[in-house]
Amino acid sequence: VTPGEYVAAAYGIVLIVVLAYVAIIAAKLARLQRQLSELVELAKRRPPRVEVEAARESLRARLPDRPGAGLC
Amino acid sequence: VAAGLLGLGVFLAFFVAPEAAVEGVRQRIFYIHVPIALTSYFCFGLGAWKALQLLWRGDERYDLESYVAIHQGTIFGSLTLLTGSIWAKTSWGHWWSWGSNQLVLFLVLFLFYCAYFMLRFSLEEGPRRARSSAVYALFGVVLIPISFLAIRLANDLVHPTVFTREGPQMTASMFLAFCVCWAAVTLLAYVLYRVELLGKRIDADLRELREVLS
Repeated sequence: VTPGEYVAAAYGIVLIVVLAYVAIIAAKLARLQRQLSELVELAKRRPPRVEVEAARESLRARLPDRPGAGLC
Repeated sequence: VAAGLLGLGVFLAFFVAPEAAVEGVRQRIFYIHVPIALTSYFCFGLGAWKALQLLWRGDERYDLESYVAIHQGTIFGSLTLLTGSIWAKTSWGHWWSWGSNQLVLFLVLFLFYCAYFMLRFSLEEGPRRARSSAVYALFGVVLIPISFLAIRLANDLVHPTVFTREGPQMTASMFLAFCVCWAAVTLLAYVLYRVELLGKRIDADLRELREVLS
């Protein structure tokens, strides 16, 4: 092996390691993107907070009609 | 910008800087090996500094910053050992020399910070792990100046000394190529540090969000 080939190997290793590191980071960011999309879907499927509050109000309005409801 | 600067540095190293009189073409490894080694020292130092801030201020965000800096340091440390071994093989005829204090102390520093990950991942996530990791990272910082100065203190004859009290022992174009490569590698390390840190923070935020939604 000539000295020139050793020099090329040294620079090549640096390039390969840096590229591999960037690829790992890119794969991780892609995974995070997927997880974020899943969470957005999950959040969309949940009923909006306003609807939940309205349902609670409606339930509270009906509670006095039930026997013993005012005690708790 | 980092990739462009690195390309410029490699161009200067191969086509502008003259060939060294004694070492010949193999001296060109210097332009990538030394900046990477200095960057790994810097990353380990940064990790220790963030660890000190964690212990001092108690802010948990420094734990992640310290971890990412040390992670970067080990990556650049591995590259230092790899490029150094290639240079050793072509210059001295063997891949490693146990007689060189600079090499052995760098290996000790590298292995010390490799053990940081073993410690960190053996503990449960939380303030205890953050504090233990920070104390360990701080201990390692002592090895950085020792490793850096070993070559000068021990009159090492195997590993060459380029930067002396009289200044850099190289021509102006060689020094320019070295400075550009050093700036490029430092910038590359900074970019990778920011990207990895951002990824880790998003990951933590997503985990928290998942817990809230589930």
